[in-house]
Amino acid sequence: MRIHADLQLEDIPGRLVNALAPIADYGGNIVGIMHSRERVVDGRITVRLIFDVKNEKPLKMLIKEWEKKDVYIARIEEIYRRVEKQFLVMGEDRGAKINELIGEISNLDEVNVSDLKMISREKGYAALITVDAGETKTLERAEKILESLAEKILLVKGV
Amino acid sequence: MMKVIMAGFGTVGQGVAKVIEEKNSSIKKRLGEGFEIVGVSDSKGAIYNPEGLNLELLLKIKREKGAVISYPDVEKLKSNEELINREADVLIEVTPTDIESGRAVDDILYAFRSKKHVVTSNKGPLTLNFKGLNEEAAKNGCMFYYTATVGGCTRMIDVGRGLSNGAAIISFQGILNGTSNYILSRMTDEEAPYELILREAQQLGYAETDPSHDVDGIDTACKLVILANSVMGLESSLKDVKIEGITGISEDGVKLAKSDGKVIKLIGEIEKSRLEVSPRLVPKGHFLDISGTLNLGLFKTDFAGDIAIMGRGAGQMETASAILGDLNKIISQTR
Ligand SMILES: NC(=O)c1ccc[n+]([C@@H]2O[C@H](COP(=O)([O-])OP(=O)(O)OC[C@H]3O[C@@H](n4cnc5c(N)ncnc54)[C@H](OP(=O)(O)O)[C@@H]3O)[C@@H](O)[C@H]2O)c1
Repeated sequence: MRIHADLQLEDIPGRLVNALAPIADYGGNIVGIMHSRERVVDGRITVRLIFDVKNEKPLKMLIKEWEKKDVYIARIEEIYRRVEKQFLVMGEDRGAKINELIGEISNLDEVNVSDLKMISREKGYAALITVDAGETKTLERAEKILESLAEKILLVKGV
Repeated sequence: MMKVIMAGFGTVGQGVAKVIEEKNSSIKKRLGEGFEIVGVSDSKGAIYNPEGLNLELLLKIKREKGAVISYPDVEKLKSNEELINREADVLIEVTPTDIESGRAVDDILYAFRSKKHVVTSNKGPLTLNFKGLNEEAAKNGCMFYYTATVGGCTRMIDVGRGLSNGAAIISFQGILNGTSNYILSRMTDEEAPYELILREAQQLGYAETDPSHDVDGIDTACKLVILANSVMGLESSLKDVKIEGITGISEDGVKLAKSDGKVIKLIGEIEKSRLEVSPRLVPKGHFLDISGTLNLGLFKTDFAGDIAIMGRGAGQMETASAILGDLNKIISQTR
């Protein structure tokens, strides 16, 4: 899981290193770090951290460790990374069924149709559907729905 | 001199005669031995001369008379089998691809049984009986090379084999059919319908009169089978490939994709034991976004990361060059 944390540290040399060290100790991996000396609150500077950690367990231990080290945690949350896939669907009618199809996909738990572009004419339609979900597995359910229609439509998936 | 017989004397066969004519002396210098074409067949019959054929004359006669049997003062034969029966070291099989009849399979098996090495650009026999052919070659102590069957001059099979010797290939994605890639590229550039672009491709010689094998994805599927079996150690055949071609791609579909920064490409994909040929949406600027008649193979490996190889997948001299490369391997390994 990817974590976003805003830490408030005393503006004294060594405090930052002191705060970062436990991340690696709990198997985490720092992805990004920003700190601003301008925003001093209560004599503390704010450091914004992005890091990956395996799961809740090491994260909890890390938070405990920070509390022990007098690191103030102003904010901590998981960055919800969404996976996205596009499908181009083509058929030889006007595409009246597309809305129904979008409805069916949107009804899936945790799947979101984030974009739909469509051209519809007498001789056929083309629809570019962008779907996103929390994880690839969930996305596959949307893919299955589209694949089950493959007899009637031409489905072009993203690579 | 290594004695060579050749079944088929069309675009590729004549290209092979030309490259041998041009490169023979440098090959002799480098490898200590060159090639001598002693027999050739086409659809009208075969000729054989143990002393070697004059390649310039052979090309001229094929060009002017249309049949190799018009070549003067040589033994005339009726079938490939009779030709393969004659004394030679290597058979080059370059007859048309046929994935229904087993004619070329039988000819190649017969060549192995008469202890001849075989080089081919013909996908048909390898798609029909990959395992049987390779087993028969091994049983008879013969070499069997087919570099030109996939990706033309790009040596995609050699690259894949080289990679798998030191890293595991996790998956493969490729554009293996120049005709369909040309059509899709032109449809994107011109925002024009499939039928119109197909006609243009036919006029320019990029598509055959009957383009079905190319546009229906069969040609890509055959190449995928050969690649999966020769590089990734699978035992697949054509019926294992899920195939969708490009004939249903509409002008509007291409337009929508383009407006979103994507192009449509006919992709052959191997992942674990799944083989699939289908049109796919590719982001502009992606490895797989190549235009025109080019071919591309993208290997994903565990240790070596992504490796792509690109080049001309077809053409007379390109294909002949891949065949010459295979012939050189045989010379190097028999010395
Ligand atoms: N062209 C390329 O760029 C390319 C690239 C990669 C692989 N290949 C493969 O290479 C092979 C040859 O392609 P090509 O372009 O040279 O085809 P081609 O121009 O159609 O030539 C085929 C040749 O085979 C002869 N032939 C037909 N049936 C025969 C038979 N039963 N016995 C002996 N000869 C026979 C034909 O005779 P006639 O001359 O009397 O018609 C012709 O000379 C095909 O399998 C093709 O898929 C081609």
